[in-house]
Amino acid sequence: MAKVVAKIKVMPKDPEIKPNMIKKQVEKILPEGAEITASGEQPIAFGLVALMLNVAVPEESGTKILDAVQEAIESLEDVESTRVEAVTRISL
Amino acid sequence: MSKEKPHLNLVITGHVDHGKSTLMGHVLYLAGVIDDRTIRSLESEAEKLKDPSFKFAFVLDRLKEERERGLTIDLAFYKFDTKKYYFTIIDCPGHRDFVKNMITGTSQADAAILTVSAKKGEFEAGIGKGGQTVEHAVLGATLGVSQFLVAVNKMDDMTVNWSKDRYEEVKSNVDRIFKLIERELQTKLIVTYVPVSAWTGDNLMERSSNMPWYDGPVFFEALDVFVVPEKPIDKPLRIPVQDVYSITGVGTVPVGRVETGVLKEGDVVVFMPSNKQGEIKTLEMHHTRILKAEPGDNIGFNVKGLGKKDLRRGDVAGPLDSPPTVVKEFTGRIFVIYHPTAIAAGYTPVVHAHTAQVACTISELQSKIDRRTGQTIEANPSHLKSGDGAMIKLIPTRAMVIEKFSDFPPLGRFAVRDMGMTIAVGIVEDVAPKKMS
Repeated sequence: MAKVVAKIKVMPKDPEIKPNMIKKQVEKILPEGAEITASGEQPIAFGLVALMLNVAVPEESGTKILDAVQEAIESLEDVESTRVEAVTRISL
Repeated sequence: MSKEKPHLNLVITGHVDHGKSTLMGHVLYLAGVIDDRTIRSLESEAEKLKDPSFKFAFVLDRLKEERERGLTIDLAFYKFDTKKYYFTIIDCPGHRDFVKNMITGTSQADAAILTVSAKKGEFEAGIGKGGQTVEHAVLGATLGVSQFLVAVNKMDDMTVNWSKDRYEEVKSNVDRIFKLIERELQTKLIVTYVPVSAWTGDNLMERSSNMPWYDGPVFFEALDVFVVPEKPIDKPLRIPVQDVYSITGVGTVPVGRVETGVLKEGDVVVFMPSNKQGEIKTLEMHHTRILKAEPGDNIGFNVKGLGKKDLRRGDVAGPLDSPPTVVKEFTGRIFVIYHPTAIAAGYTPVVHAHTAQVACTISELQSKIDRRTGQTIEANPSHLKSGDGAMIKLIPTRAMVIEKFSDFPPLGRFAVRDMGMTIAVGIVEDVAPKKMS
């Protein structure tokens, strides 16, 4: 089964909120079928640090599941916004 | 892998049936990304499935597992290097819905590989009605790629038998498509063709003895013919705003990626469509103060004299003498990916372009276009269906910045969404600017 991995940049509400705090919350609310395969952080500016997530979803679900992932993450109080930076296919 | 070699992002397109996965698997194997022992175990897996041709396709699966085990944030699941470059690969999803994420994504596509099967019937299907070869070529160019490597694959197939004539036939047909795209998108494309067999490895790294008539570069040589695209620093500044912060002790800080032009400390910029001006006090990238930012830089910049409420996501920063274009109406050259019924004038889906999402009403269906020839099939069609190419006019329901693709490619491509699906993708052919007071 083919999967698509999206690199999602998650921006915090303010510089006090660190990526790890957001990641722990995201793990609890990720929609079924979506899975975090990698994570990291990216310093932006003026103390803001983005959480970077690689999220794998089944290819046949289309973008609906990615939308659901973004919506779920954006519903968190500590999150300002999410943006899918890139998508790639990862298997046959 | 050497970090000193220049880096290129490579987009892999082409239909899976045309051997895209096998080609990339074999290329990664030859590049030394995967060892002999692994490839032997993959061979036996492939034999168990009674389809040895999947050997190299399995390479991608195996690498995927390896990447998943190691915690890397690098989206580049597949990477390799050549004599000249360090490549990371973005493999285009087959599900067309994801085209939206490629269009609005921020990752720069520097070059593309298009795999085209020379096999009898397969090639014809790819360039026929609804064929994916045309679609993938258009997608690559829409993503802003100006250099393509076309791997004319399956030269070993019985129906091809290493034939020069068949290669020339495929090449001239694909070249006709690229010429058409050049005209339609008003862009210059560099296209290199290499006849290969992804399965046997002919003309990948070693020159094939089966095709002595071919004297061009082999696949790996052709990869090194790519050039690092020049940053569009000579164009006017455009920074689509992703978020706006109010940071204690700093002030108002918009965050975004510089798409074109240069931003320096002390510059005065205007944000459209909010129509607010401010002077740039300081710029930061990776938490480090920088004096100027260039295309590709993800920055935060502190603006004097503006509050957080003055700006919003979807605003675009630009210079006073060449402000971002707020449109009254724009003309789009679109391709309908999927619509459950039909699109008619009056339809109001959401248009995603750069960081903006604005509902736009389709005010006019100007023409239906045959994407294989560029010819108008029908003027003023009453409706459009899945698979149609068309020129349409759109009116944003609220103020929106969008630019002509030929002027600012990253701000001139868009995805049309409705009902949680990608309905269409397109480029902006023309804009009717709105008067800003």
